[in-house]
Amino acid sequence: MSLPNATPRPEGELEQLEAVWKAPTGWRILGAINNTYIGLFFVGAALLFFVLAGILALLMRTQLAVAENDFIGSDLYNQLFTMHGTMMMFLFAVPVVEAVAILLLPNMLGARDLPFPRMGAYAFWAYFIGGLCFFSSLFFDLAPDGGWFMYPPLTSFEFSPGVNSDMYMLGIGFIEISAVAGAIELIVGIMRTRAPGMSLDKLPVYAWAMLVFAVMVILAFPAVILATLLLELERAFQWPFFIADKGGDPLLWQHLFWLFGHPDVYIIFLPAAGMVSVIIPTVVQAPLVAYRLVVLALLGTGFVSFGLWVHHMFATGLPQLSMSFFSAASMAVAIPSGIQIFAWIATIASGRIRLNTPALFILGFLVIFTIGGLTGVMVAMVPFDLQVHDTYFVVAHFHYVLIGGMVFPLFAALYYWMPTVSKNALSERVGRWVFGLIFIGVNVTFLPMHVTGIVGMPRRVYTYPAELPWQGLNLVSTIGAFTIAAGVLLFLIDLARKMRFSFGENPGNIWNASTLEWLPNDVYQTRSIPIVTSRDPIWDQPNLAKDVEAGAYFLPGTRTGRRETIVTSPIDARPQHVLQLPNEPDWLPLLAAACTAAFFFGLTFKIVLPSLAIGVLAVALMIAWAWSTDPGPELGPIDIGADIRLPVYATGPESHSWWALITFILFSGSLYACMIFTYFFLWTVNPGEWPPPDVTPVSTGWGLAAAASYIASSGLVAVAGRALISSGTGAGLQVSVALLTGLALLFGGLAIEIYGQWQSGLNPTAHSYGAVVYAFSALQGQYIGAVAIMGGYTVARAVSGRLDGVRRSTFDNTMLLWHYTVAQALVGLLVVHGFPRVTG
Amino acid sequence: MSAATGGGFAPRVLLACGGLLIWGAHFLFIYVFAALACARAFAGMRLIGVGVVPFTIMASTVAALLLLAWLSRRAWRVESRVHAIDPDTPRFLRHLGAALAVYSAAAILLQALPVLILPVCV
Repeated sequence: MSLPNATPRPEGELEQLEAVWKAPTGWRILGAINNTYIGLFFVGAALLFFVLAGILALLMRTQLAVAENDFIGSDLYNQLFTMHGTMMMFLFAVPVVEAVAILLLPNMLGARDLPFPRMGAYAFWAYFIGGLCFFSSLFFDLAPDGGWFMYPPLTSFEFSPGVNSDMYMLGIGFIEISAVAGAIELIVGIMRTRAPGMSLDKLPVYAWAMLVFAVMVILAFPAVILATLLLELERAFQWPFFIADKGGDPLLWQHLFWLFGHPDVYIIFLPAAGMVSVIIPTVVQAPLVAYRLVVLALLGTGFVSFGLWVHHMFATGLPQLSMSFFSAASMAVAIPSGIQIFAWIATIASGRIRLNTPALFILGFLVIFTIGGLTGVMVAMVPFDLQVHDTYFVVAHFHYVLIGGMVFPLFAALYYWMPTVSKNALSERVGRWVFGLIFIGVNVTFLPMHVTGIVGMPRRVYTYPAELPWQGLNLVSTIGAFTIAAGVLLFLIDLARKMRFSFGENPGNIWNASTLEWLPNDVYQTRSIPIVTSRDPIWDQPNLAKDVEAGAYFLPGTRTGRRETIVTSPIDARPQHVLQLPNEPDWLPLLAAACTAAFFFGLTFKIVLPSLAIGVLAVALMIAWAWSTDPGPELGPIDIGADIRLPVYATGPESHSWWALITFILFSGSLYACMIFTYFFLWTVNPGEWPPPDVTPVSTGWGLAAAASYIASSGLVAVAGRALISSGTGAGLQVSVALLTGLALLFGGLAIEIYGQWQSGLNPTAHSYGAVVYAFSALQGQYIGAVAIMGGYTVARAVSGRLDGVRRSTFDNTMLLWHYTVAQALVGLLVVHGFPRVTG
Repeated sequence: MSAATGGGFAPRVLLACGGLLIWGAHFLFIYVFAALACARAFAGMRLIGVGVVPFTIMASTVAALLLLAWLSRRAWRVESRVHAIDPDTPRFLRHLGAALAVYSAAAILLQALPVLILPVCV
């Protein structure tokens, strides 16, 4: 095969590439936005939170080591177990898998960076600053104390009047937004920035896993975001979504929470499974067996895991038949998990395993995760579950699943991929000790806990009387917990000793791995972007590393004088256009994230006006960073090699920003579906009282008027879109007038709806009916606010001459969200105005 | 943009994942229907001698499986046609779609079976 570019490459080309991609140094590193830096920051922060949450666990184990201990009181203990669970799930498990992906994926896919570097940086800083503030609440006795799943009524205003629960609602709610931003970036990165030739059948399994992960984040997180939003509305304004006396239902929270919470288990496990599917072939030096079936397993698990949520609610009194659907789905999801485990065992059998540290952690994962899976089958049986519900048996079960299914693969990954970012690999000798201590520690801690639970110890008690037969078992668990801590400490010492971040001076492909991240790379990733013809390119494509390094493949330098990466088609990975990426340092993401955090935490403490001012500042900073996007087509088309000339600009469905917006709309659709679920759920718990007897439904005229206003605004935007195409540069004024009028109509529709309800006497605090009707408008108001910002921004682009018939990406994206917002509003009006009349 | 050049992405991917989408729709339907039958007390109704809940669940299962069969056939044909126009595009989605359809059919059957042995609202 002849290669795309002739070698040797012209003098100065490499130097120019290096100059364009030069990473910031010194304190300017805080303004870094490239994926390697952000990925490393992200992994480091997640490990920090892992250690902090682990220390909380040690405090709890110390308290429980002996009976009637007075080391920690009940109030602090409540905060400790809540923070331990919340931090491990929201500040460690989900972020760390996202972090590893941000670090690795561009390398693995043959891209120079992820498509939205600044959004990645924003997601990191929002998470890091938010996480630190959230953790600090412990020092002020303000940490949430209602358990990581925060069930109302315990966590509502009546029984938790302090700000402790608000810390969870706003703090975690905001960190979830960062997870969603990261997921959007990963989806677009995986679908659109793969090396030419890396069609879906050659995508590394890890990338498949991260794709499924990211889609699951997009679809599952809205449930918990909505739940926390509703509970905060109840806490702050007494809108009774969860108060049974006023037509609410605490079970609504459980449904919404676990609709997120169960997929979340797989959100954590699938990336780990993806890591395992990449590491095993390397440690046995043989290709993964049954690649297609493993991909099937990832997709199947991703979908079916949304049908499991009620198995966290077996003790809530649902009918047997309803529970059996969830039992059936729980069994169905075992099929893909089984496929993956057999594929790994078969791969190990087809090669010859080298027992290095990553391999040890993989074997540890198989053992511990399988034990957790077996106790999972036990609690999947409803009668057994009722016996051990809320006992230490369950604590033992989910620690086996989560530590086995996620922490062990993560350690394997840290040992395995360290040479791609550090001058030295981690020590093999120390690594064996780390593995041994953690493996033994986990079993000593959690194996006896099964018995502790069966003999009756409930979870979340801060102490217990000496007469009960729990003391010996608890002491053993405490010794085990400190053994795990010793293992983690040893790992950190080794990390401090060996990890030296570097570009270009790394030890290279020390494991003889087969995927692209092991090609020689530097701050710009690989010198040229390879053509991929195999699932294991380094093994199957001779001289790949040498030719890539020599610049013989695509885009060996910069053609526009700026940062660039190739955008390829989503299924076949054929080059489509070149994406221009922003330079660094760029301080706007960091500042915007800090302002967003200040906004949310200010609201937590009810400092309303300053918070709103800072919120406006956050939006202004984001607008400032958006201003350099949508650069227009002037610099292209350019030659990337093999006589392929690509444009440097795209709009509509080919553009990366369009894909991001479609992904955001999927997220929004899921959020709205949860809102509609909430409405109908509350209807089912209020038989014959929907609306309640003292409420007169608002006249249909108000709903029709609001709908007409919304439809007219969408129509105006569509007309503006046509005008932009036909009039080219001269359409600025027309577009501006149309958009501003359209915005007035959007706000008008919302005002009509709210006023109509209000004048009919509907009160959001009297009954869940009123609360949910106004909640529709509250949600709609947020979307209209977002469209107003985008619409105003688009007008500014038009007025400043940055919008025309070709350079119209900004307009196209605004239009897409606009139409979605209107469609969503119409569905909401149909439900709120139509349904009570149908049933009424 | 033709399907072979990466356009037509959404229909091709939706067809390949069609089995799982039908599984999801079926799951949601039978869960909501059974819950409503109990919450609104119409579970005692009978249709041609069978309780309304078992009848509806079985009927929806047959409908879901028929739809699944039709959709998989269509997915297979679309992918074959894409491959015929553009032989360089891999047959991956065709195989993946077929395998997902088999898995989805098994999951649909599994979740429909309990209605044959369990009481509806107890």
